[in-house]
Amino acid sequence: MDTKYIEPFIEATINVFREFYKEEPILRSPFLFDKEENLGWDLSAVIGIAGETKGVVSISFPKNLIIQLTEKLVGHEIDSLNDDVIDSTGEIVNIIAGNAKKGLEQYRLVISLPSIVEGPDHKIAWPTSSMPIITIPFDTSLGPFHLSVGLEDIIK
Amino acid sequence: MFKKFLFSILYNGLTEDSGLKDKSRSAVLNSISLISVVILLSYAVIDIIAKIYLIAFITATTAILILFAIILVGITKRISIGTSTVSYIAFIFFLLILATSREERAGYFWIMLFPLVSIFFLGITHGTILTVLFGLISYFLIFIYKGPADVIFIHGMGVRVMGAYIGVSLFTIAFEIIRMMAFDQLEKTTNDLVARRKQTAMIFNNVKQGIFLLDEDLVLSEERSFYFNELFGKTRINQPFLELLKDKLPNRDFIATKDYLELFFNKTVNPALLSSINPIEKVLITFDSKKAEEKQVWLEFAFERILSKNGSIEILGLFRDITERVTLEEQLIKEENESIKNMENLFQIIHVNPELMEEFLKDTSDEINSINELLKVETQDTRSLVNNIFTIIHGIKGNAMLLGLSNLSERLKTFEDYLKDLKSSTATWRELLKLTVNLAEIKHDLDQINTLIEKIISFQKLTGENVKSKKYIFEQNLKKSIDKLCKEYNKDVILDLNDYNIDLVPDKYKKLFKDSISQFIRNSIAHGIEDKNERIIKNKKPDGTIKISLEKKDDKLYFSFYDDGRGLSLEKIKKIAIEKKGYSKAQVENFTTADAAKLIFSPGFSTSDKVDNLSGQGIGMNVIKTHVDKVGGKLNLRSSSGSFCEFKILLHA
Repeated sequence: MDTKYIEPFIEATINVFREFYKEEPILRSPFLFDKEENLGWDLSAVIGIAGETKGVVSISFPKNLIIQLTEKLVGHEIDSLNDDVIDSTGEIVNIIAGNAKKGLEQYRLVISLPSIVEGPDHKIAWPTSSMPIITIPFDTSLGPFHLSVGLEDIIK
Repeated sequence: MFKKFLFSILYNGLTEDSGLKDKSRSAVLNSISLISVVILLSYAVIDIIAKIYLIAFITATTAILILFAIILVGITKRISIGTSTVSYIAFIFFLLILATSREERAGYFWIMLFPLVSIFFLGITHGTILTVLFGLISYFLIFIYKGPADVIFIHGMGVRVMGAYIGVSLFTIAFEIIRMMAFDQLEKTTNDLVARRKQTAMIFNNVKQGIFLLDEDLVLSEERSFYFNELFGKTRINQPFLELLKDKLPNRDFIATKDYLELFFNKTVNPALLSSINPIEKVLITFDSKKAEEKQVWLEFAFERILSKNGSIEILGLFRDITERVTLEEQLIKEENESIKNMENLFQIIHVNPELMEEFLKDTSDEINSINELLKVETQDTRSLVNNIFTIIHGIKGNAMLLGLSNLSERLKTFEDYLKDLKSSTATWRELLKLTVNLAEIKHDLDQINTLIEKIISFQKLTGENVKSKKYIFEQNLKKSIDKLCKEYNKDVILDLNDYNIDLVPDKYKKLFKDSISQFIRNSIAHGIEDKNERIIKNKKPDGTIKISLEKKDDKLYFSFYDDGRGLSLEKIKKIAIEKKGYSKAQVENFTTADAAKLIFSPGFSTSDKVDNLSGQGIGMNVIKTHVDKVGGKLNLRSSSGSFCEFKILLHA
């Protein structure tokens, strides 16, 4: 069992949210994500991991939350999931990835740039069926979002 | 810039592949020519001023000739043009001076230069011939012509000049021979070196290994294999090796490498120890860590201490790419572990009763899902959450242990212990994350067991229907005893078990079913089913059929044993009733099938003519009847004379 690859992502998420969105995300108990489950995601940023372990880390938001967070960031009103939201979220998640990388320095990992997935109630095609996906719910003052991790070597 | 210009003048006429001889010749030729051109031109100017026009003309022409020859050399790249021109000009010019010089006898000095010029420029043979010729002409000019008539000729001086000339000539020849030999030797050595250098370069450029040297400050030497540069990119001069590695390895590996390399300069550490403690014997190096696209390579490093004669130490470093090997190895280990685990699981699974296993897997999967649902519920009270999960996991562990699934129960035990610790205080997110990962592992193990079972099932389907299933075994056993009976009675029977659901037989009825079926079969083959000939005459299928079926409706079990033989023969039964049971003729006159059936099930009744160990003992049917009555069931008989006979048993499930 290994959570060493996941923890830096959680810490980075909390730190970056605090710094950029001025939010204190509260972590709820993580659960096993059923690949067919719908958690009401409208925007996801997906980061690929390669190296000594392989897999995907995704941060997924419902529409309202990410719009409000972006409004906080840019300082003006936004009415839809426009390019501003997508671009800034990509940037933020990239910062989270970069931050997490610091905590992962001792491991031989390569972290890709985030790809943005957009669409109401979208699903993510997770790699290989045997890999469990662990979803970590966070609460913010504006609503919840999820950090999901599917990595090869989490289970042994 | 000036230096470059000077060199281009000095080496005028040289090509890229000119040898050392040409090089020295061209340098002398060009410098001498240039100097002489300058000198001659200045003499020409002086002569013009002195109004000696003829001399001025000759001097200027000579200078221009030389200049022209040099330019020609530059264009044609043929030094021989320059060297011969200069030599012949010198030939004429020096003799001219010798002939014309007055009391100062300038010619005497100039001619000393000629052997040097001609032998150096034209080589031994050509130069010597010209030197000798020059000497003869000089002799004529000195001793016979004796210079201008108004100038006094001193004979002794002429002799000394000629002596000196011969001396200079001989010395020049000797010197030139030595020089040539030295040059040849040098050229040979140089060519040899160049060839070797080429070979070394070829090896260094093409070897798929990093080869490099480190000095006492761990600075890279310039000489290293091309592969090194290919991987590590451009380096500066005096590049410290560690600096190159710094961003490319995990920090702990970097520090270990630094300490390790320093050990090489401690002569008390022996080489065997050094090679055994290499921290980067197998290391993953990340290149271009600043770009998004990164390249990761597994490298195998080796270092060797090189002791120089003067006591200084250098390190020879080697590395090669072992990415492919490492990847394969990792995959192999992973697959091996997985298959070991699978084998263990398989071993444990095949010792478990299939129904219990199925039940366990289903229940456990439900339990895991219920834990996951618990996790999804937002709660601050992690203590009761953990407690709930603990209770569920404890239950699953108990069941897994009961079934002997030791791998799984061990894992569950670890999880249980983890939860036990967690129960005492509010869990942090890290602990909750670990909890979920644990759950994922257990789910994964269960999935693996399920996959294994599915594999076994599909294997079974592939290799034949119902291999080793309960029904298969039952059918095989039954067929065996039918075959035996058929041989004995010379009958042919087909067994039909399609509607017989063996799984419906409860344990308490197992013996009843077993006894009944074997009795009915005996009865059918001994009495019911006709032999082939009789069946054909009666227009029946040649082979008799026995069909056994069992079904469950509500809480009742319906068992049927059917054969398409001759059915109950009332006549025969009546006869036996009279003979063996003491019935009167009048009593049996109005016998119905029901009465006949009753009779069959009574003790000591047999329709068989002979008594043997299989049938005709007249006890079988009665035993069944008694057994069925005892468990509160009903035994019925249905028959149509000549076409079939069916026994039915009705039981409480």
